[in-house]
Amino acid sequence: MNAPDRYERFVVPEGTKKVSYERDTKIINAASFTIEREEHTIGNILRMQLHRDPNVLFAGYKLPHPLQYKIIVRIHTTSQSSPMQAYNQSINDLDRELDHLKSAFEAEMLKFSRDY
Amino acid sequence: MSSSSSEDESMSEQSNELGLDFILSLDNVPSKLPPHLELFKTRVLCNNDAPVHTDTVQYSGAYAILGVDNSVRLDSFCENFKVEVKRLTDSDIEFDMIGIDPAIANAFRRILIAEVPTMAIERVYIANNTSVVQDEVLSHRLGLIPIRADPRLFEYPENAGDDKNEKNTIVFKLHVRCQVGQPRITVKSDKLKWLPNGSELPCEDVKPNAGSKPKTFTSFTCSQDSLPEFSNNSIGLTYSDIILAKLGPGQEIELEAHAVKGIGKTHAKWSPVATAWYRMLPEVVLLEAVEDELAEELKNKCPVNVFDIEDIGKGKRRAKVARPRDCTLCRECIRGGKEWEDRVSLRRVKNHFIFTIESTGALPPEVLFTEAVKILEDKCERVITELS
Repeated sequence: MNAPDRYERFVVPEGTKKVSYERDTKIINAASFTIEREEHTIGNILRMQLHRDPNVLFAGYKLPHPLQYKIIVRIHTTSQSSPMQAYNQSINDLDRELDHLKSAFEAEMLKFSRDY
Repeated sequence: MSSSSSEDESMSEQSNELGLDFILSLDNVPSKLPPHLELFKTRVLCNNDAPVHTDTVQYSGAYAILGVDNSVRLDSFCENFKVEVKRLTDSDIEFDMIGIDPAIANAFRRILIAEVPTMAIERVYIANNTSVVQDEVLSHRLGLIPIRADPRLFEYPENAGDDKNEKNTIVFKLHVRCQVGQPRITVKSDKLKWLPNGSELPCEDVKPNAGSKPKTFTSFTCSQDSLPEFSNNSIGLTYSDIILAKLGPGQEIELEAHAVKGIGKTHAKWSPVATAWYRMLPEVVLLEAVEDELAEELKNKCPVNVFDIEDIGKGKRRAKVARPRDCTLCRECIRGGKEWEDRVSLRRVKNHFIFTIESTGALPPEVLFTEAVKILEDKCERVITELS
């Protein structure tokens, strides 16, 4: 009936930015990133990666509502860094980790198929 | 007095200059976590009543007061990460991922279930259906049939009104009839025939000109089996024995089914896995020697034969943990009083995941995992490049 179309969960509408950034007005070095059409898959992994950074004081994410297909990631850093820097750094690190993971898996598959 | 105060000043200056390095160089400052904290950090302890220390300590400054840096650098991840394939068949794979966070393992599980694309029947054009199975029920059953076609060779359909061509649509035909006077027949999925040249059903709304070929529901420019990518691996169904309907005498089904590319987020029929799951590696530790009758009792307690009994000479026998990986943590071995809890410790290793992927047959399970990693990489790429 009035259920939203399924594709709305992953297709970013025209005129909407995939990622938007909003600085906190009350706390220095704090900001919120709104990521459209993403959910726990990327939110949890991003939170985990941010927690590994020694310059990050707070990192968390939330889904405002199950029918609002977006996540809000909030980052608070020390004065040595900035939320934008921490965000970029964590995703770059994650990308490199995944690259290593993929090559390790492919190497293991090659070894396994050779041995058996 | 003055000399000691000047010493203190110089000491504080030195500590300010060197910071954490200076503190860690002192004799009585631990450089690593004490054993009990290390245990709580790396293991989930499964007690008789409930598991404890289930959280993953991810915050970099969690142990700063002890002078221990908990942050994870990329190089340390690369050093510690390992993959070990334990079992591989045509339809499923079991492998261990050692040294990763639950967040990453869970991301892969979610992507495998809902975001790796496959082909599935989306539109069914029914010309005739006199069976007892209603049109919409039959269509739903057809949609759930796994299709053996590599989705990487196809494009997503742009929208419903777009031309259905050989690059984005697979067409199947089903035409079965039970003759009058014959016994009932069972219609199975092997009756679905692939039409490499596209649709054969004429569109109702278009009147064909005399002599011209009637317009069909697809507009293929060439036959799919003439394309090099399909000549090696022909398109078909993964299973040929799925029951679709049963026909009585005189009943008939004639239809055409069009399969398109999609993801499990839209509908479960596009999910490439029967299931994908992970569990943490079980660890069974005997805290004290369990011998003779107790060893026999312990061995008999376990329903999955985790324990074995070894002969230690002089007529003595001792229990040993032989197959900890088989442990389901049913906790049967620690039921029976406090004394058993003091003898056996059940744990799970927090950063060791046993991953199992069961494919529906569209792609081999090892390819599914590689695709899931690529999708996650692509997500990360988009999330960083599109930041204004």
